[in-house]
Amino acid sequence: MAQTARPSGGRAGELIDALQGWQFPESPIVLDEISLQTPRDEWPPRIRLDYRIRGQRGRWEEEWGDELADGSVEYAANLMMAIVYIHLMDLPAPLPEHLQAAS
Amino acid sequence: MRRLLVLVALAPMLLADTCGDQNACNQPPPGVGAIVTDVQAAADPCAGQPVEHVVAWFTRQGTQYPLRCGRRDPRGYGYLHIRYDEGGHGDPVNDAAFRTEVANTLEHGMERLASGGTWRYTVKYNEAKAICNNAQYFRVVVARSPNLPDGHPAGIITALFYANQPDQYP
Repeated sequence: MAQTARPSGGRAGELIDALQGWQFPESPIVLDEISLQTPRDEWPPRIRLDYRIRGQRGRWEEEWGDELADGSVEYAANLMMAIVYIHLMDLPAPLPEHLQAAS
Repeated sequence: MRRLLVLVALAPMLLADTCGDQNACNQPPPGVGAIVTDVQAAADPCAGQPVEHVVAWFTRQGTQYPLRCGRRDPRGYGYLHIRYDEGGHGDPVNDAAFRTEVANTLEHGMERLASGGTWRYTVKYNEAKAICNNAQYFRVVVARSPNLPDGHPAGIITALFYANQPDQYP
């Protein structure tokens, strides 16, 4: 039976720290800012990702959940950015809703 | 005109024969409905399972990588993303042909770093296989590290066909 894990306090803050400076090398995707929109000790975290694709700005804000709750913070950071990567890797420009959110 | 009609009538057989001769098709040509129906009706191995549940294993150079259930969009990844999101890329558990493409691409695809511990693998099909798959490329993205407490990484993040060369290639 699926269960929602509830990490101990501080994981959201540690995760956002681990995400700072993350980039996708050899890619037109540029990550400008990754910021936590919920308290550092609150789970699940709401994370805002400000990025550019070929100079066009996008903002993807999302509440992340149980997929990042288990394993090390490094595991969660890598998984989150792997998910972000596959959703942006084939886009010629940010998604319309991301463009709108960034404007 | 008669020659054209004969060619049109024989096209499915010619296509199947071409694919068969070159061993390019791992699946029947599109239109063989029973296979598709079976796949669509196949059970979901992730029903009631947590995101980390492993439904299949794939290998690259002797190292096994899991395909976990993951989840659907907007933060989709893993089996549920591959099977259901964006109209469905394919079913790497119930569809043997799609599973073979994932395995072949992971084992033989051109490797490039995506970011952190995540890598992408891409194959370009030859002409016969491109016709069979109605696609020119196949890509698998794998999170190879770090590991979960079960001793394995997140594994297969996505797998999909491309009709044309991906923006980032290889």
